[in-house]
Amino acid sequence: MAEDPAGAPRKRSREVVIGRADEVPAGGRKIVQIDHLSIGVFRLADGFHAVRNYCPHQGAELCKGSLHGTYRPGAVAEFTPALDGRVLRCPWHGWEFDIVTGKGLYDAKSRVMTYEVKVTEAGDLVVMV
Amino acid sequence: MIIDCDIHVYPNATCPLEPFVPARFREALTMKQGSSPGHGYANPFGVDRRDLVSETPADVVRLHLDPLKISYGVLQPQPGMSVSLIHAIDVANAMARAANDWLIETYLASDPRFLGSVCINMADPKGAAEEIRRVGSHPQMVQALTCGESLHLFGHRAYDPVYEACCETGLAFAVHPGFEGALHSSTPVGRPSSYFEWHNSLPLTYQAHVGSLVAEGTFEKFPGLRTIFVEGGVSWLAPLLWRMDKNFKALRSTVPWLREAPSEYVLRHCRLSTQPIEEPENPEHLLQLYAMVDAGRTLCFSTDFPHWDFDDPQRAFPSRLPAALKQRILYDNAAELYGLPARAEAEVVS
Repeated sequence: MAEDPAGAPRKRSREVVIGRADEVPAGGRKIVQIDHLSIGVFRLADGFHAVRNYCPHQGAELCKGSLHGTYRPGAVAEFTPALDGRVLRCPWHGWEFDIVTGKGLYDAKSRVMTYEVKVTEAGDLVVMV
Repeated sequence: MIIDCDIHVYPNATCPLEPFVPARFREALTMKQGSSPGHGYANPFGVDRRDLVSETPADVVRLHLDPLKISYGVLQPQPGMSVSLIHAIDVANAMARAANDWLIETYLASDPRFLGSVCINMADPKGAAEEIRRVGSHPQMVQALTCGESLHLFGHRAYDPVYEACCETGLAFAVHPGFEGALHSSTPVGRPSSYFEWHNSLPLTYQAHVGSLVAEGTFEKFPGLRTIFVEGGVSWLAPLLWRMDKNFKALRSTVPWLREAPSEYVLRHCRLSTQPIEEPENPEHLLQLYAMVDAGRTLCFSTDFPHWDFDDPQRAFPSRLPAALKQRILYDNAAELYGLPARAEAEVVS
């Protein structure tokens, strides 16, 4: 599960203010509608991350799922905790996504769209779409 | 039009079961005589969808029937579906009765789209038959229901009174999984070590029961009996049909009461609900699988609402599933099984 450049947020130029950074507590989230896009913005220990609120499997509202850690693939009978608190589990079928990279943890080819999030000096929360 | 053959409903604080428990058994329940063995495998993330809470008839209508445009939904109540596993047989019968009266007074009374299951205690086939005759004539009751975990294979002659009562009242005989491991191991060679492996093993129970119903001659004894195997998916059936038909050529004389190929009995008397739908990487393989089991006759759509492995009627099937076949699966097969109105000829499923 090394960082993969392909998993980094795409560069987008439009800045949309979605609220104040301090209204989302650590471990919390805010789901916002921007035009046709529903996006979930999550506050993890290392800052804000945003993913599209749409599961690539059957279209469930992914961002209503729960946040978990998971176990890194390893040797048989070895349980190595990984990605603590940054794994989003779809509320329908439980498929796992890393909200930092957008990658599905069940299949390297699967991913959910990620968006860059910034906090302005004034404390506004901005999503790049 | 859509018929959903698997919707789960539960008693709870707003919709309680207690008032429906026969008065003389309430003390037995406080003495914990309603206990049953568990299978021991917990879904670590819970079995319910986490984007909603469905606790009342109004919830199921608002969250499920209306938005998904479901014409009829067959309710599979729990704990009613697993009363067969309660150790105390009389308490099990009382809990079946409570589950059925609860369903009639709450869900069935609230909306004509709700169809009911008569929960039965298969550990007391005579008692189960009495319960089928007691409430099976309710116009919204369409099937007798039990769990796949069972003292005996379902072709065992001990269960004949149940099938006789089903035929007499016009109810289908329905089986739902999820309790495998309570009485026997969920696999014939030992207990799995994870919920993942346990869940993968559930279709083995259905292969065993269907093979038994055919070989024991149940469908010869009860030519009007119709069955539905819910929530087992579909992929387990074709290999069983082929193996039975092949073996029948040499071993027919050991089951001389069978008058036709085993697969003929299954295709005529057994229906499967689609969920959890198989999702092979190549969707064409699912269509081939459906062809192998004559899906246009045998498959009935189900969602498993509100559980975690729910299937959405518009999202679950491959886009290349032919429209005519999709209509059969979404509505017609279940309508024929349960004796519901035929779909209007002009109506097209999107």
